[in-house]
Amino acid sequence: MLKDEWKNEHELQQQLDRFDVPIPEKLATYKKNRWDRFITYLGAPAKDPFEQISSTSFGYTALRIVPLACAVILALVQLFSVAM
Amino acid sequence: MMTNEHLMITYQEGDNEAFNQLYHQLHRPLYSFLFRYTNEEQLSIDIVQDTFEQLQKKRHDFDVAKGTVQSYIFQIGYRLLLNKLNRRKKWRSFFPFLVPIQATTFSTDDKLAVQQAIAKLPEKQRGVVLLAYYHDLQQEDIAKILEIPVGTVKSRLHQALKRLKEELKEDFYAEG
Repeated sequence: MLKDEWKNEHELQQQLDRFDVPIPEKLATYKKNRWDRFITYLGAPAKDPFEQISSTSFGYTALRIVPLACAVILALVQLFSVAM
Repeated sequence: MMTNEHLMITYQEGDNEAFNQLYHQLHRPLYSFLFRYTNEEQLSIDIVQDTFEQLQKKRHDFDVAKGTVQSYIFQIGYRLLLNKLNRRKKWRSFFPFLVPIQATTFSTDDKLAVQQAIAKLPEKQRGVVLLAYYHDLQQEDIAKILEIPVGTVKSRLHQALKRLKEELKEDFYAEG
């Protein structure tokens, strides 16, 4: 019997009993709505792909300046190509 | 009141109301098991729904001579959980930034310590402890759900108990 394993573990039992689980209301009735779950998935927060770069002040500045510099360079390239 | 097994047989004969009653009686223990295993509310809710969807599809596979409805449902749920966790690991390795951050729910009260101690257990031992302690299942049922030999259930439970006692020892003496 597995129950015998716990018989003399009163402190452990006391602690394990604290881990109660509240049941969410969403589960009160069986609803199978895949669309809602897909929307939840899309709306769930995702990891920031630039997290490591933006965590430093240099990285944060670079993330703001690099796109701006690219835009300026592209604009200049277009201006020169039109002028020529 | 009808037992789960009677309800299942009635459902197999085509009574859909029996399915609703089965859901009513078994969604709580299944959710508790999944939540204690993962500490993730949304994941556990999804798996409960998926489990009962699978039960509808596989209702004729259930044989009352082979075990209880509870262990049959737990078996489906545990398999779905492992598939989902494995799939998530794969996605995480290919596209680390596309995987949603799962809100791991840890309480702030005194159950935090035990919640963390259980979360720290190796997956193989965690399932055994949860099913044996919180759901009071027989060794044979646990073996069937986790798809392990019956002898392994007891040895894993021993290891898990030892680990839990070590993890929770400090916390207990700090209180006392």
